[in-house]
Amino acid sequence: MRMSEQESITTHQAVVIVANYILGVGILTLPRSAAEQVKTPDIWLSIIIGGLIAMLAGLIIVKLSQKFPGMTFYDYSQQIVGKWIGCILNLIVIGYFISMASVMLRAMAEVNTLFLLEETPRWAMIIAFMWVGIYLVVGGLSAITRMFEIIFPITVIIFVLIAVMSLKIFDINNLRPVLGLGIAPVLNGVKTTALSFSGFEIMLLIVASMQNPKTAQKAVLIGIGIPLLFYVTTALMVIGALTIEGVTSLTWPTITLIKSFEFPGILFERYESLLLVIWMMQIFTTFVITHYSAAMGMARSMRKDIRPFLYVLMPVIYIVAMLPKNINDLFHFSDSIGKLAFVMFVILPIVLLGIAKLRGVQT
Amino acid sequence: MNPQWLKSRTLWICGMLTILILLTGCWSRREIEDLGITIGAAVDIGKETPVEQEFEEQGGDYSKQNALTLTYQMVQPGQSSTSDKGGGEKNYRNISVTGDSLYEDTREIALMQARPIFGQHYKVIVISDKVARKFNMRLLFDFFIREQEFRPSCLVLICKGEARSALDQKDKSEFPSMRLLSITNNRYRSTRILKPMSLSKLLPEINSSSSFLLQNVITAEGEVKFAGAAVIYGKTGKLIGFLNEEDLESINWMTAKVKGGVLKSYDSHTGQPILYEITSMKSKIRPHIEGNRISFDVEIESDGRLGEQWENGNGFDNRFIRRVEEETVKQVRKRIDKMLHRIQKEYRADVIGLDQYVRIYYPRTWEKIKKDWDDKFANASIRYRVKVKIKEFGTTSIKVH
Amino acid sequence: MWNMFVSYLPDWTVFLQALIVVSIPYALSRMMSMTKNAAENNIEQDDQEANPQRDFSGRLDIDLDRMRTEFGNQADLNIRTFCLGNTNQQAAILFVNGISDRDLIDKHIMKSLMVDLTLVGHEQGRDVSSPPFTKQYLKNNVLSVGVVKEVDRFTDLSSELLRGHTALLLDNSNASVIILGTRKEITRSAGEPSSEILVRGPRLGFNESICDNTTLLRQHGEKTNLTITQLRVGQRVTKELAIVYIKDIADDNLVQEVRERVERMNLDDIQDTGYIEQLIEDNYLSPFPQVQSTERLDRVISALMEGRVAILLDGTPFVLTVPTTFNMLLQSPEDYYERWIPGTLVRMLRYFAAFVSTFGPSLYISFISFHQGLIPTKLALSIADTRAGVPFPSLIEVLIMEIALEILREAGLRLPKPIGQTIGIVGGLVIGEAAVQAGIVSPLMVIVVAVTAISSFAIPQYNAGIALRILRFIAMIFAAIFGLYGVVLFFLLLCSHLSKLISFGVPYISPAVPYRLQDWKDFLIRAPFKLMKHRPKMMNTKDPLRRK
Repeated sequence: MRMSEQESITTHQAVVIVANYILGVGILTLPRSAAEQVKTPDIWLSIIIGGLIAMLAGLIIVKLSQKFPGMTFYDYSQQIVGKWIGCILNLIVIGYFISMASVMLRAMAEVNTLFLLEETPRWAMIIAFMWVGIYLVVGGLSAITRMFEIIFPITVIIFVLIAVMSLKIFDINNLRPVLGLGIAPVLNGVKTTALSFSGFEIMLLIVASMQNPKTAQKAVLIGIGIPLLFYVTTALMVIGALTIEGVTSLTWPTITLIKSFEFPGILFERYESLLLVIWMMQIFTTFVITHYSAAMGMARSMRKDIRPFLYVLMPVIYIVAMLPKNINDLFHFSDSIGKLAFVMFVILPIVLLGIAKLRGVQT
Repeated sequence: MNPQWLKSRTLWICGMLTILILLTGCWSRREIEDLGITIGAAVDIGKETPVEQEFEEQGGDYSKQNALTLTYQMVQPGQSSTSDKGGGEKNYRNISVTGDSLYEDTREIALMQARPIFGQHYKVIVISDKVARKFNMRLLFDFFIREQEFRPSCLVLICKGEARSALDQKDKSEFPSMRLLSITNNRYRSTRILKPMSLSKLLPEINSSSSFLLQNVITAEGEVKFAGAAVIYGKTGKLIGFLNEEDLESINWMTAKVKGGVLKSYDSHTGQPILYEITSMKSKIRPHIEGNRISFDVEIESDGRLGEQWENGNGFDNRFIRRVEEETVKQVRKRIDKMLHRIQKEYRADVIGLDQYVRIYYPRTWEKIKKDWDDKFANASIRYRVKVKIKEFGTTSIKVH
Repeated sequence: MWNMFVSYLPDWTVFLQALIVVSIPYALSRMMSMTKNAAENNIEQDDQEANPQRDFSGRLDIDLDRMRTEFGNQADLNIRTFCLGNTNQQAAILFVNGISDRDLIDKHIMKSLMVDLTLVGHEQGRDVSSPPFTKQYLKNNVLSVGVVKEVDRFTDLSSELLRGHTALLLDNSNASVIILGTRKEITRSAGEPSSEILVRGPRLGFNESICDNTTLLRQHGEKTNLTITQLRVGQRVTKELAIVYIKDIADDNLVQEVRERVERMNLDDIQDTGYIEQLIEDNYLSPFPQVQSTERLDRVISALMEGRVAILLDGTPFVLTVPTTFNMLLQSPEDYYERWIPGTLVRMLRYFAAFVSTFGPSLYISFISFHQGLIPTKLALSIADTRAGVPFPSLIEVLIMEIALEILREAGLRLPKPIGQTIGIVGGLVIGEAAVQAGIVSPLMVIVVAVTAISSFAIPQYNAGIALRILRFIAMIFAAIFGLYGVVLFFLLLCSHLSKLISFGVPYISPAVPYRLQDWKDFLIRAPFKLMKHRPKMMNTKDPLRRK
């Protein structure tokens, strides 16, 4: 009766994984980083275009993965470009996942220090977080997937609630004019916004364990579409309430937005706690999946059991998370990772797909 | 006991011990009653209080130039629970500290009070007009906006005179800060209250160097009154003058940021007052730019009712209603003219927020002129049409014979 | 470049912390696996303990001697020797006084063996020298008793005797004993189960007799495909156990798995289904009940109709149903008896109550001790007022009241009913009020604790309530360390645990995940019956449709 340890992933689950993974730090900082580039209230357009680009890249990744049914990127990279280059590619991807996990942890600790726990040392927060994470990841991909599915509706409900509440200080004039300065500034911001959708690369790994890999295209499109909606809503709300000038000088504009209104008389007066709660859950999901993906990369490359690698990675991720010296370092670090992601997961899949077609590699 | 069990048991004990050690954390714990819950702050020009002077005489001094005096309104917990027979005295305490840095002053209080300042319940920040004249708003509010402890929803007010006095009150049944906050909720009863300017709304104004208004408060014998508004000039970020209540009212009429209120006009025949009460208001602002000429068309429409009349006139008669409408329009126009003259000619600052409409309708031109918008505004021509409709006149219309 | 690299080199404390990060969970996981191994080893050792075999000789006097020595001087063992019919073939019946049906023995067994055998029909061609009566003959032609079987081991015999059956030993026969079902059960009538009371619904619960219980199940709609498989469990004290399922609904794999697990558990005495529950559950470290136990007939029937398997044990009214999922803990049969709107609302209320009873005090702690800025100003001021005299931090304050309340609850449970209620009310009110008066706790705290307690009573399953009570304390500790962050961490931990937990191959957290709209109709809401056409998909049933 005991079902196999790893159940296959349904299409719904793939959607949830992609969506959860994408929604990370971006939701708190995207309005600022986009506003810095765009400088007009049209950042929501940049976000939409960025999302469309991400969808395109996601589709390419899915296409690539579907060529090798039952195999993850780690398995087929070596088949396409040979053992050594494949190995190096795997290493880069593993490094990417490790840095991603570290950035998540550190950002979580920074926000917590600023808004919730002023005096608690960062290491304590991070360590506790990682322990909860490891408890989940040893349960394997199916447990992770189930967890994502629990968190996802909570996120959606609270997010919608907060968005509706922030209508109180929303002013449509702050969003006008649409395309006042033409499309150029919008395109300026696309680079930033597209990077905030990094996360679809998880499709490199999970298509292999999907019940029905044919639906992976649909999964990646919806999976990116949901964060797209979230991001656009956030951007509209933040700009609509705080204006483009206000946003650029705020470190965490979304939190400031939620702090800017009060609903006295209800149980709480301020709702940033709710936002922080769902945000921490989102960070948790992102952290867990990156941790797992990195460990999976190592396990697959060496063809061994994943568990030891999960433990081995913990100190590595921790140390990397502690490397940035201040918050600017952290933002730079995350920007560079975003750029790496662009190369690795937008350009590389195209190249790989081309090589695979040329060499006619088949499983 | 088999050895594996033994091993696992030692491991268990070690693990538990480590966890216990880690459990001794509780780093950020502060009990609520140990906090000095602060609900208001006031910033004045530096003048040391007698207590401070005495402290200094006894050597309690550090290097400072006494640029500013910061006053906090702290709630004193505990006492009201003993007098909970209802309606007892509210206990608050205003503590003033003088220094150069607002943050340093705040922390200085930790040397004087059992409960250090806890700022997450700030309701109002009152700035003295002298301070606002002297300092750039951007620098003045840096601390309040930067420090995450302050709520961005905190209300910002200007006080003509000593800001500290706005945090005092004769009637002890409520907190003065709360009173100030509550008054802003009365916009549905008066047109002379500015739309509340919170820290989060202040930030974009400061960042974009545009001129704006801040609600002005005056005090007398422990009572306060919202009286007009202070004009903050965009380029310097400093206070340059005040608008009186009627000017503020006119600005609210132009921007239709009115929830309710009355407007008194005098009948041109009899000279008797007639009161128009606003039930709804709409305004449409349309900018025009032709070459260098900037002009605005403003259409103001208001529905309301006849509130009070000190003269003959039959509300059942439409002619009378028409007349009242005309008088009201005349009154509004008169006031708007006065207000426009003041802000365009006297202050040369766009505090109405017309820049927004230029930005929306002429985004490209706006990019060029936004640097010296206030000057452009001073020369802009503003045409406006006022429409007032009286829909009803209450339960009676007295005919005085 | 090098300098920059060096400047980014972390402190040694970071490395130490990195070590801590990995070592503790690793050590914990090792521990877990070791304990698990140890537990499994024990089971294997138990397996090796073979039963001594004692066969019967077939000669009455020897066997009877043996009996006497084995049973010692059991006062209530009754051995009656007699001759069959009017032959001189010796026979003996053994039974234990009191628990066997004397009436049945006297009127049907003894009479048919001694008197009826002499009557015409049996008499033909028989005399002293003719071959003795065979067991076969007796069973087929003489004994007018419903339950008859043969055993050939002494342990089986003794257990049957002690269960109230009668043993018939024949001289000069093969080495086995006939067991006659003369059990006289002391049962109570099936009444309303006191642990699960409904306003509307059948007032029928199980009792201690497995016969009655299976009868109850059979009676319900006379389902012909209701399958009852009997097993005997317990090494020393054997008891009857029944695995019940509906053949054309339940998944065969599930039934097989249940069977295997039940057979695998070997304990010398299984007193209650609680023992079974703990021996067959998937994760013994989890606070959540992974097997549902109920006294209510309707609960079991509805579980069976969903494709679950029920386990009945003789001697206890509690019936287990597996697999159990999280939603079952918060469902009550009444949800289905009332119309769907009240059913839905009440169910949602229960989920809310479960949330409050788990997170209430921890949220209180995190808001009072950590995030005072997040509560409304007026509330913050009044809390600060009321807490001004309280000498303890909020964690201690909550712990005092919570533990006092738990003790009260436990005390009230053990006392006779009328006193228990009084204790509950008096204790709760008096202690709460006195503690506030004494300034040990703040009034708001008492409200929080009271609301929490009431919420935990709203959970229909007692053991689920206990699980949430335990978790509440853990949540409080998390909150005391990290405030709201701790509560979120705890929530994540809890969800991680739930998503890892599997009950008999079904994820415990289903039907919440994976998303199946069909199953959600009976999860947070209780959809109208018109919409609930399907059985839960998670159960992998053979017949997925409830109504066509």
